[in-house]
Amino acid sequence: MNTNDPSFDRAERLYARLLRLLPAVLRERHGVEMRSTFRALSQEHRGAAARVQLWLGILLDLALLVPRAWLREAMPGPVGPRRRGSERHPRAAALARDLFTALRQICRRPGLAAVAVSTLALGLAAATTIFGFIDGVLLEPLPYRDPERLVALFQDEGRDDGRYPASPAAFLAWRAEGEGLQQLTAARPFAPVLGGEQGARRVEGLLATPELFELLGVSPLLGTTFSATAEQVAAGEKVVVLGWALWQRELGGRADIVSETLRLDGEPYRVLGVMPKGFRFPPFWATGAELWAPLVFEPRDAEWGARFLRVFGRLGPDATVEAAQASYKALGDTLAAARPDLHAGTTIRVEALREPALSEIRPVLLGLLAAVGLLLLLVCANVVGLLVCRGIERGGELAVRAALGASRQRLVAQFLVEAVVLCGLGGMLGVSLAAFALPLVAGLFSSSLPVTAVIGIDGRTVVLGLLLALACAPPFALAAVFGAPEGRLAATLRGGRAVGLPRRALRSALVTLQVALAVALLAGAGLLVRTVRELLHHDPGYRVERVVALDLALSGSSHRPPEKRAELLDPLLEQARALPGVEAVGIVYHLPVGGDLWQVPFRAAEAPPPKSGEEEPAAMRIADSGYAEAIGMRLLRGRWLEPTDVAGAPPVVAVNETLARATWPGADAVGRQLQVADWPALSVVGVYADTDQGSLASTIRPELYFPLAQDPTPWNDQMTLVLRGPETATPAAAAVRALLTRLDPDAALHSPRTLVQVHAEQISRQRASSWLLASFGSAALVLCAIGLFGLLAELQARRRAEIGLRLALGAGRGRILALVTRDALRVAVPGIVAGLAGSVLLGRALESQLYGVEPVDGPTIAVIALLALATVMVAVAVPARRAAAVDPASSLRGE
Amino acid sequence: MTGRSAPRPPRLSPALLHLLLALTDGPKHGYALMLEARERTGGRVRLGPGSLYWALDRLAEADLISETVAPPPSTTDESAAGEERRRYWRLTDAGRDRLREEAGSLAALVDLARVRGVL
Repeated sequence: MNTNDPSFDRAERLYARLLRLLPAVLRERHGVEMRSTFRALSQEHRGAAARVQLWLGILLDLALLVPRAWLREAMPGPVGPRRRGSERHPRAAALARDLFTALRQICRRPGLAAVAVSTLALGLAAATTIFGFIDGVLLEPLPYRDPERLVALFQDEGRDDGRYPASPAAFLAWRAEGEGLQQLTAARPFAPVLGGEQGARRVEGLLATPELFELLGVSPLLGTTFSATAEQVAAGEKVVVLGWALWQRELGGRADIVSETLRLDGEPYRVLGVMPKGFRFPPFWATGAELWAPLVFEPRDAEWGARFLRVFGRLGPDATVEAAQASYKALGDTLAAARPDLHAGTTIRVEALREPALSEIRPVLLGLLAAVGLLLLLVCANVVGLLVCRGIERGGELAVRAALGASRQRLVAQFLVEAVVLCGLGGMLGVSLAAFALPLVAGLFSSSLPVTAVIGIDGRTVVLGLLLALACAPPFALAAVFGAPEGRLAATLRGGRAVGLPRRALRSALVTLQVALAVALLAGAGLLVRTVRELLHHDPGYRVERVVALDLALSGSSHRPPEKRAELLDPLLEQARALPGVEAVGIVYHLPVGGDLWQVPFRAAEAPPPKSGEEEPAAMRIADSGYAEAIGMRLLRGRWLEPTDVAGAPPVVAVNETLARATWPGADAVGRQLQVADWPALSVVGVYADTDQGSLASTIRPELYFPLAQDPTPWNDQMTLVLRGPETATPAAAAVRALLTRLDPDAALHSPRTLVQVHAEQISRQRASSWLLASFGSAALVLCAIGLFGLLAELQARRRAEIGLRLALGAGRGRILALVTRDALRVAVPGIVAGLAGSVLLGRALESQLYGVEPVDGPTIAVIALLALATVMVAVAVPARRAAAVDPASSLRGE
Repeated sequence: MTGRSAPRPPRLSPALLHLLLALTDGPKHGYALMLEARERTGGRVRLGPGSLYWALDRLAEADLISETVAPPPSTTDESAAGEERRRYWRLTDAGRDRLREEAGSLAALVDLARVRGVL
């Protein structure tokens, strides 16, 4: 006897610790004996397997004892050998007994309970994950004071989503004359180069009118914000408020940073304060902002009509978004009548601040919610099927209890408690799984989430998961009761195991339902998978493989003025071209997909000017002569921009096919004159094949490229270097950065990326949705295969005698196989048909996310139908083989 | 068989019955009772330490068993001999009566099942 073995000691100590779960009275009375019994048992159980078995038994033993002991502690009086009538809390005591019986039932058939609990946990984990995700993205309030009263204002030109920026003229007029909104704030992006010992780095920020922090109602972590220093701001002092992450990353999180001076774009800015961790603004558009500096207008800006400002405000007391919208719409009409040159052709749009951030992701999330709802329904159908089976099996036990006087209510209550225990276990497991799955799902969608989303399991999500679990309990209890109705008790007692028709019909219907749901889910997944494939193989009009983009910021550099740029860019491009592995180099702003999109009005020079507000806008880009080759654009007619297109030379432009065709239908655009905005007329020198613009595979608009040396937007100081040849971005960026540092230490290079990455990010949302739907669909298919298998196995077991008889009468094995297969198809085919019909609805719901594939897609439907049939055949295989292998003689003797 | 209306205590569970049965041939300590119940039922009645002492408490509370002084070491089983003082339990008269009653009603049930052709 090896009582000195340290593992025995450890085990006993652990057991002693577990005993502390018991009420003190019980522990004092029996603790010593229980420990010595445990010691004796653990000496009996040697070897790893026996140990595991011992501990499982011990844990189960305590799990049964602890609730009973505490219940007794709370309600003194005999519970064991019961004295009816003397129970002070008969209901509680009955509940305790039911709970105890339920646990015993689960222990009696652990396999079945495990299957039911894990199936349920799977469905609940999926549902809880998606809910937690939606909760974090859609329901979590924005992290500002009274966030539901914050609004965003747009100048709606009646195109796209209508969320166009406003001009300073519009903003100043709104602020002066608008009613119903307070603290109207305008902002524009600000991407300065931060100078310092670590070299020049570009940071992202926002210039905003001084009302910003008052509007948001968020206090700084350190120092103050610029609403408190409005006077200095007005006096022209340059100040800045820092974001927490920027402060930590670039400035070492020093507490004495307040009042220090930073160099932004070569100018001194006094640090006013640091915002708390997690503060992000704005929630849409310039979402990377990490510093905020004041934006000040002068009276003459009331005539500035260029639209580049984002405007925010807070609803006044008693105002609603609708009322503010109506009042600003009226204001817009008044302004357009007074100054058509500044305000015509647009209406003012007011909407809740969270709307623009969520409008893209919302349909995706609601689609996922619908899908997970289908999966949960399927899971429930599956578990109901299991429990109906179990109910049938338990007929004998129930008959005895009914005969001993248990009322039907008592039996139903018993089933309900059992269902609640199963669902509770499933719920707890499901919620735990969801806690792991949620960050994964958030990771899948990371690039399309609003920055303010807070994703994680919180109390609300846990409660919802558990409530969902409990909501499953009553139907489960009904299923179990339905499996064993009173009327059949006598027959059951005699051992006749015949199943009534209605229950078999119910189980078949449940399996049909499961097949239908799985097929619908898979068809939805199929559409998204095809969309992702189409997008991956979609031709954007330029080269995607082996092209690297690097952003170059000149804002802090002495080469910022347009006339000085060539001094830096010419040697930089030449040296970059000579780098190993680089085949071609060009400069552009903005890079087509995923970059900014500037738009300018244009017309053929010979055409009459359109009415104000009716101009067709074109996407406007600026590039050098090497860009077309570097990115692999295809020239259709004429020539690309040349190095000879310099500042003094005749102004030229290259246009895309869409612009050429729309402006001069049926004629050659090369050599024509184009009027863009109010600049001098431009000669079209070349027409190139359309390329994608704002986002992948979006509608192609007219587009034009200006030569870099004739840039009509000289204030711009951000551009993108495009390198053809390198496979990966980081080494190319390091090589170019080394060149740049030698030429100009104040210029910053940032955001290295390959076009493959840019495109992957573009389709990440569809890819994430297709992943999720495909995993839901596969889980659904596996579950319904299990459900079908269970049903067939049972049918086949019941028909053993019939099959034996048929075999004895000379039926071939083939006929028996056909018999079982027919059973399966009778259940599955209606499910497949219904599922395909349902997939049409799902396809319509997903339509906004599809590309290159119709909501009703023949090939997808065919593939899914075949997949479902193949799964049915797999589920049929074992029962069918078993049926064909029945020995006629023994099966007939069994009868 | 009028289990429904009689104001008598409800039936004892198989585990409790087996504990009472194991005490019919003299006082025993808890662990010995646990082993005996397990062996006699071929492993069907398996009590953990917790359930065992809970059950003994219930039986004692209903005066079906009572605690007793330990018999001399020679009559105890070897595995626990001399290790430490254990608490012993014996069947009370009420316990013996109750056991007889329960066994009788089970026997009646078995007879009935035979008549009805279930067994």
